[in-house]
Amino acid sequence: MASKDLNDVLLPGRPLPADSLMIAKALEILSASPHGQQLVNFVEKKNIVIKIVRTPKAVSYLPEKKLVYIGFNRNNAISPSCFILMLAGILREAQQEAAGIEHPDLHAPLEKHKEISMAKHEDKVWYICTVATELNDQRAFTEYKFLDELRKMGHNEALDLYLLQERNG
Amino acid sequence: MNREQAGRVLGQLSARDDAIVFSRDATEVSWRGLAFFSNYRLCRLTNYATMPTFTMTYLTDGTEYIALDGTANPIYTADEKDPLMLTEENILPYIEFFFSHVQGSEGEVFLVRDPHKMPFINNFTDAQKQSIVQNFKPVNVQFDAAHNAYLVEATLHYGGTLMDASIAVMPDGKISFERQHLLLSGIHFPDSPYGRNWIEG
Repeated sequence: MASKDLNDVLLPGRPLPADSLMIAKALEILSASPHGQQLVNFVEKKNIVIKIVRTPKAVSYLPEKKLVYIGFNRNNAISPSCFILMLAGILREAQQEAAGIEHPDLHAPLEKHKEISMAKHEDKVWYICTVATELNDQRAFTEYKFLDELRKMGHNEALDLYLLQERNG
Repeated sequence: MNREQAGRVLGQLSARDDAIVFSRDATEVSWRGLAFFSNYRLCRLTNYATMPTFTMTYLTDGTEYIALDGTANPIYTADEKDPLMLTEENILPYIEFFFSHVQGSEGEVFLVRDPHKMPFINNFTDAQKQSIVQNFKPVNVQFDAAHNAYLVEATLHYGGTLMDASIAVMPDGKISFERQHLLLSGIHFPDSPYGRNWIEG
């Protein structure tokens, strides 16, 4: 039986590169994919601010149209490929908002919330699948295992559907 | 918290250099007292304007806000600022509070007080349930005067395993695992054992 070590819960957090370096590298890698490049252009053109925060669990957050956060636990840091894909997702959401596709008002009917939020989510997941596939196809990023990471992030079914559609043209 | 109190908290938090932005109109602010602190309590902010909602939890004395980030550091910082009042009665709530806000590479640690009431117990097969009940070691709390520490023997769930562990809690709140022994593996929780419930007060 594999044994887990409870002491890793008590670690003070692992050393990581500077936030600015992680963000710059992620944008550099994103720009190697055509759809990722669109996101990088959007960041530059619209002066989108990207911040990294310490949160208990991995999370991305768009509180304002021009401000995105990527949060993760320093004791359980996400992989670089997960970071890049999370960034692609939240930047796509920022793009939606910039294009006027916004979440409905809190008091809007549930049906409207479902309709718009589902459409936004579907578009976002589809975009992440596209970026991941484009990066995965490049030899320079073989080690990043973007498609495996996407599955670990819970997008297994969406990725299978995306790949099926790609194959069928 | 009412709107005025919530607005005050959001104002205090937004003045910080490392402030995370929350929508003033769509953020719920709630708080919960902690028996082992005199001055600090938990404060939770949830922004409902995003999908999914975004939540941050802070330890606060009403002036200072310490963000809980999944490591032990913020809790230890609050422990230093507001010396703990640990007793035999609140030592388990302290450990449970600690484990519910600190995570390792395998996720959260959950102290099993009663195997029949363990989260997701009904997700397991009858054979697994039987093994869980048979392997369970009841919680035992002792004060070790020689080391001035509480020693808690308990069954813990971590990373899909059940462990029999001895947890030492020092008067300053520092936690260490004196002993750990694997009891069972393949006991995976489908979600956080701490759920989404939050009772204000």
